[in-house]
Amino acid sequence: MRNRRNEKEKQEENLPAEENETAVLKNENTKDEEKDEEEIGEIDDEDEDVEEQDNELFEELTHLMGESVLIVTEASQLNLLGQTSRPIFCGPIVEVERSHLTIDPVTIKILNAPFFQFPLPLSIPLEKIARLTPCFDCSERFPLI
Amino acid sequence: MTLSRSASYSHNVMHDMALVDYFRASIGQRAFILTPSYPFMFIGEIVSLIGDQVELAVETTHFAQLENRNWLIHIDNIEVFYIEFPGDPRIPELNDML
Repeated sequence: MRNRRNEKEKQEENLPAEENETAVLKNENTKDEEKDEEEIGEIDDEDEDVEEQDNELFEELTHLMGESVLIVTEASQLNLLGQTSRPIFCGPIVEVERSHLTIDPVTIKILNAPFFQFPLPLSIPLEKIARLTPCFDCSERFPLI
Repeated sequence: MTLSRSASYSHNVMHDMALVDYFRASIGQRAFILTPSYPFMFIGEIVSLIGDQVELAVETTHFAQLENRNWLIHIDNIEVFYIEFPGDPRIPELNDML
Protein backbone atom coordinates (compact mmCIF):
# COMPACT_ATOMS: atom_id res chain seq x y z
CA MET A 1 0.00 0.00 0.00
CA ARG A 2 2.49 2.54 1.17
CA ASN A 3 4.85 1.58 -1.63
CA ARG A 4 2.18 2.12 -4.17
CA ARG A 5 1.48 5.59 -2.77
CA ASN A 6 5.14 6.45 -2.93
CA GLU A 7 5.25 5.34 -6.53
CA LYS A 8 2.31 7.52 -7.25
CA GLU A 9 3.96 10.51 -5.63
CA LYS A 10 7.07 9.90 -7.63
CA GLN A 11 5.03 9.70 -10.77
CA GLU A 12 3.35 12.98 -9.94
CA GLU A 13 6.72 14.61 -9.56
CA ASN A 14 7.54 13.48 -13.07
CA LEU A 15 4.24 14.72 -14.37
CA PRO A 16 5.35 17.74 -16.44
CA ALA A 17 7.91 15.66 -18.35
CA GLU A 18 5.78 12.69 -19.30
CA GLU A 19 2.30 14.02 -18.97
CA ASN A 20 0.41 11.61 -21.21
CA GLU A 21 1.97 8.47 -19.90
CA THR A 22 1.51 9.36 -16.25
CA ALA A 23 -2.05 10.46 -16.79
CA VAL A 24 -2.88 6.87 -17.72
CA LEU A 25 -0.85 5.53 -14.83
CA LYS A 26 -2.53 7.91 -12.48
CA ASN A 27 -5.89 6.70 -13.62
CA GLU A 28 -4.96 3.13 -12.84
CA ASN A 29 -3.54 4.14 -9.52
CA THR A 30 -6.69 5.98 -8.52
CA LYS A 31 -8.70 2.84 -9.23
CA ASP A 32 -6.32 0.81 -7.12
CA GLU A 33 -6.47 3.31 -4.38
CA GLU A 34 -10.24 3.35 -4.34
CA LYS A 35 -10.22 -0.39 -3.98
CA ASP A 36 -7.68 -0.17 -1.16
CA GLU A 37 -9.71 2.43 0.61
CA GLU A 38 -12.77 0.19 0.43
CA GLU A 39 -10.77 -2.63 1.96
CA ILE A 40 -9.48 -0.39 4.70
CA GLY A 41 -13.01 0.83 5.26
CA GLU A 42 -14.21 -2.72 5.90
CA ILE A 43 -11.44 -3.47 8.33
CA ASP A 44 -11.98 -0.19 10.14
CA ASP A 45 -15.71 -0.89 10.44
CA GLU A 46 -15.00 -4.24 12.04
CA ASP A 47 -12.49 -2.71 14.43
CA GLU A 48 -14.95 0.01 15.32
CA ASP A 49 -17.67 -2.57 15.97
CA VAL A 50 -15.41 -4.49 18.28
CA GLU A 51 -14.29 -1.33 19.98
CA GLU A 52 -17.89 -0.21 20.39
CA GLN A 53 -18.88 -3.57 21.86
CA ASP A 54 -15.86 -3.39 24.10
CA ASN A 55 -16.97 0.04 25.30
CA GLU A 56 -20.38 -1.48 26.04
CA LEU A 57 -18.78 -4.15 28.20
CA PHE A 58 -16.61 -1.54 29.88
CA GLU A 59 -19.60 0.67 30.62
CA GLU A 60 -21.71 -2.25 31.80
CA LEU A 61 -18.96 -3.24 34.23
CA THR A 62 -18.42 0.36 35.31
CA HIS A 63 -22.14 0.53 36.18
CA LEU A 64 -21.57 -2.40 38.52
CA MET A 65 -18.90 -0.52 40.50
CA GLY A 66 -19.53 -0.90 44.21
CA GLU A 67 -21.93 -3.78 43.67
CA SER A 68 -21.21 -7.23 45.01
CA VAL A 69 -20.69 -9.70 42.15
CA LEU A 70 -19.96 -13.40 41.86
CA ILE A 71 -17.33 -14.19 39.23
CA VAL A 72 -16.23 -17.59 37.97
CA THR A 73 -13.02 -17.68 35.97
CA GLU A 74 -11.88 -20.22 33.42
CA ALA A 75 -9.57 -22.50 35.38
CA SER A 76 -11.07 -25.73 36.71
CA GLN A 77 -9.35 -25.11 40.03
CA LEU A 78 -6.73 -22.95 41.67
CA ASN A 79 -4.20 -23.66 44.37
CA LEU A 80 -3.98 -21.02 47.03
CA LEU A 81 -1.17 -21.63 49.52
CA GLY A 82 -1.50 -25.37 49.17
CA GLN A 83 -5.29 -25.30 49.45
CA THR A 84 -7.41 -26.29 46.49
CA SER A 85 -9.98 -23.65 45.64
CA ARG A 86 -12.63 -23.17 43.02
CA PRO A 87 -11.92 -20.11 40.85
CA ILE A 88 -15.00 -18.44 42.32
CA PHE A 89 -14.64 -14.89 43.62
CA CYS A 90 -17.20 -12.74 45.36
CA GLY A 91 -17.20 -9.14 46.50
CA PRO A 92 -17.75 -5.56 45.44
CA ILE A 93 -16.12 -4.23 42.24
CA VAL A 94 -13.86 -1.33 43.17
CA GLU A 95 -12.04 -0.75 39.86
CA VAL A 96 -12.75 -1.40 36.18
CA GLU A 97 -10.03 -1.12 33.55
CA ARG A 98 -9.89 -2.13 29.88
CA SER A 99 -7.84 -5.16 30.88
CA HIS A 100 -9.26 -6.24 34.23
CA LEU A 101 -11.55 -5.48 37.13
CA THR A 102 -10.69 -5.45 40.82
CA ILE A 103 -12.71 -6.84 43.73
CA ASP A 104 -12.15 -5.70 47.31
CA PRO A 105 -12.72 -7.27 49.78
CA VAL A 106 -12.72 -10.58 47.95
CA THR A 107 -14.08 -13.89 49.18
CA ILE A 108 -12.48 -16.97 47.62
CA LYS A 109 -14.26 -20.30 47.62
CA ILE A 110 -11.61 -22.55 49.11
CA LEU A 111 -13.05 -26.05 49.36
CA ASN A 112 -12.71 -26.34 53.14
CA ALA A 113 -12.99 -22.59 53.83
CA PRO A 114 -15.74 -21.35 51.52
CA PHE A 115 -15.89 -17.88 53.08
CA PHE A 116 -12.17 -17.19 53.14
CA GLN A 117 -11.59 -13.47 52.80
CA PHE A 118 -8.34 -12.81 50.99
CA PRO A 119 -6.11 -10.18 52.67
CA LEU A 120 -5.58 -8.26 49.40
CA PRO A 121 -7.80 -6.87 46.67
CA LEU A 122 -7.68 -9.13 43.62
CA SER A 123 -7.74 -8.16 39.95
CA ILE A 124 -9.27 -10.48 37.39
CA PRO A 125 -8.35 -10.16 33.69
CA LEU A 126 -11.57 -9.62 31.68
CA GLU A 127 -10.32 -12.36 29.40
CA LYS A 128 -10.51 -14.86 32.28
CA ILE A 129 -14.06 -14.09 33.37
CA ALA A 130 -16.13 -17.08 32.32
CA ARG A 131 -19.27 -15.86 34.07
CA LEU A 132 -20.39 -13.03 36.25
CA THR A 133 -23.61 -12.41 38.12
CA PRO A 134 -24.35 -9.03 39.73
CA CYS A 135 -25.99 -8.32 43.10
CA PHE A 136 -24.79 -11.52 44.73
CA ASP A 137 -24.79 -11.94 48.49
CA CYS A 138 -21.34 -13.32 49.32
CA SER A 139 -22.62 -15.00 52.50
CA GLU A 140 -24.85 -17.25 50.38
CA ARG A 141 -24.02 -20.94 50.77
CA PHE A 142 -23.90 -23.10 47.64
CA PRO A 143 -22.24 -26.42 46.81
CA LEU A 144 -18.65 -26.26 45.54
CA ILE A 145 -18.70 -29.50 43.59
CA MET B 1 -19.70 -16.94 11.42
CA THR B 2 -16.16 -16.05 10.43
CA LEU B 3 -16.92 -12.42 11.16
CA SER B 4 -18.21 -13.05 14.68
CA ARG B 5 -15.28 -15.38 15.33
CA SER B 6 -12.79 -12.76 14.24
CA ALA B 7 -14.66 -10.12 16.25
CA SER B 8 -14.44 -12.18 19.42
CA TYR B 9 -10.80 -12.83 18.60
CA SER B 10 -10.32 -9.05 18.40
CA HIS B 11 -11.89 -8.70 21.86
CA ASN B 12 -9.45 -11.22 23.26
CA VAL B 13 -6.53 -9.50 21.58
CA MET B 14 -7.66 -6.10 22.84
CA HIS B 15 -8.03 -7.31 26.43
CA ASP B 16 -4.69 -9.10 26.31
CA MET B 17 -2.95 -6.05 24.87
CA ALA B 18 -4.51 -3.88 27.56
CA LEU B 19 -3.23 -6.31 30.18
CA VAL B 20 0.28 -6.26 28.71
CA ASP B 21 0.16 -2.45 28.84
CA TYR B 22 -1.05 -2.52 32.43
CA PHE B 23 1.81 -4.79 33.51
CA ARG B 24 4.29 -2.71 31.53
CA ALA B 25 3.10 0.37 33.44
CA SER B 26 3.69 -1.62 36.65
CA ILE B 27 7.36 -2.47 36.08
CA GLY B 28 9.23 -2.10 39.38
CA GLN B 29 6.17 -2.91 41.53
CA ARG B 30 5.60 -6.13 43.45
CA ALA B 31 2.94 -8.46 42.18
CA PHE B 32 0.98 -11.43 43.46
CA ILE B 33 -0.05 -13.79 40.66
CA LEU B 34 -2.23 -16.92 40.71
CA THR B 35 -2.13 -19.25 37.72
CA PRO B 36 -3.86 -22.60 37.16
CA SER B 37 -0.57 -24.16 36.09
CA TYR B 38 2.28 -25.26 38.32
CA PRO B 39 3.55 -23.78 40.62
CA PHE B 40 0.23 -21.90 40.93
CA MET B 41 1.42 -18.78 42.76
CA PHE B 42 4.17 -16.20 42.40
CA ILE B 43 5.09 -13.16 44.44
CA GLY B 44 7.84 -10.85 43.21
CA GLU B 45 8.85 -7.67 41.47
CA ILE B 46 7.88 -7.06 37.86
CA VAL B 47 11.20 -6.76 36.02
CA SER B 48 10.14 -6.35 32.41
CA LEU B 49 7.75 -7.40 29.67
CA ILE B 50 8.98 -9.59 26.86
CA GLY B 51 6.24 -9.85 24.27
CA ASP B 52 3.27 -11.16 26.23
CA GLN B 53 5.43 -12.66 28.97
CA VAL B 54 5.88 -10.91 32.31
CA GLU B 55 9.36 -11.27 33.75
CA LEU B 56 9.03 -11.56 37.52
CA ALA B 57 11.87 -11.63 40.07
CA VAL B 58 10.19 -14.28 42.20
CA GLU B 59 10.68 -14.10 45.98
CA THR B 60 7.93 -16.51 46.93
CA THR B 61 6.17 -19.51 45.40
CA HIS B 62 4.94 -22.68 47.09
CA PHE B 63 8.39 -24.22 46.83
CA ALA B 64 11.68 -22.75 48.05
CA GLN B 65 13.63 -24.47 45.24
CA LEU B 66 11.83 -22.34 42.67
CA GLU B 67 12.32 -19.03 44.47
CA ASN B 68 14.86 -16.25 44.10
CA ARG B 69 15.05 -16.51 40.33
CA ASN B 70 13.42 -14.76 37.41
CA TRP B 71 10.38 -16.42 35.86
CA LEU B 72 8.68 -15.57 32.59
CA ILE B 73 4.94 -15.86 33.06
CA HIS B 74 2.59 -15.86 30.08
CA ILE B 75 0.02 -13.08 30.51
CA ASP B 76 -2.76 -15.36 29.20
CA ASN B 77 -2.01 -17.80 32.00
CA ILE B 78 -2.65 -15.28 34.80
CA GLU B 79 -5.97 -16.12 36.46
CA VAL B 80 -5.98 -13.37 39.10
CA PHE B 81 -3.38 -10.88 40.27
CA TYR B 82 -2.67 -8.01 42.59
CA ILE B 83 -0.08 -5.31 41.96
CA GLU B 84 1.16 -3.41 44.97
CA PHE B 85 1.44 0.27 44.04
CA PRO B 86 2.84 2.71 46.60
CA GLY B 87 0.17 3.35 49.23
CA ASP B 88 -1.76 0.13 48.42
CA PRO B 89 -2.07 -2.72 50.93
CA ARG B 90 1.22 -4.60 51.21
CA ILE B 91 1.46 -8.16 49.98
CA PRO B 92 1.78 -10.05 53.27
CA GLU B 93 4.32 -12.75 54.03
CA LEU B 94 3.15 -16.11 52.78
CA ASN B 95 2.68 -17.52 56.30
CA ASP B 96 0.39 -14.67 57.33
CA MET B 97 -2.10 -15.36 54.60
CA LEU B 98 -4.04 -18.41 55.76
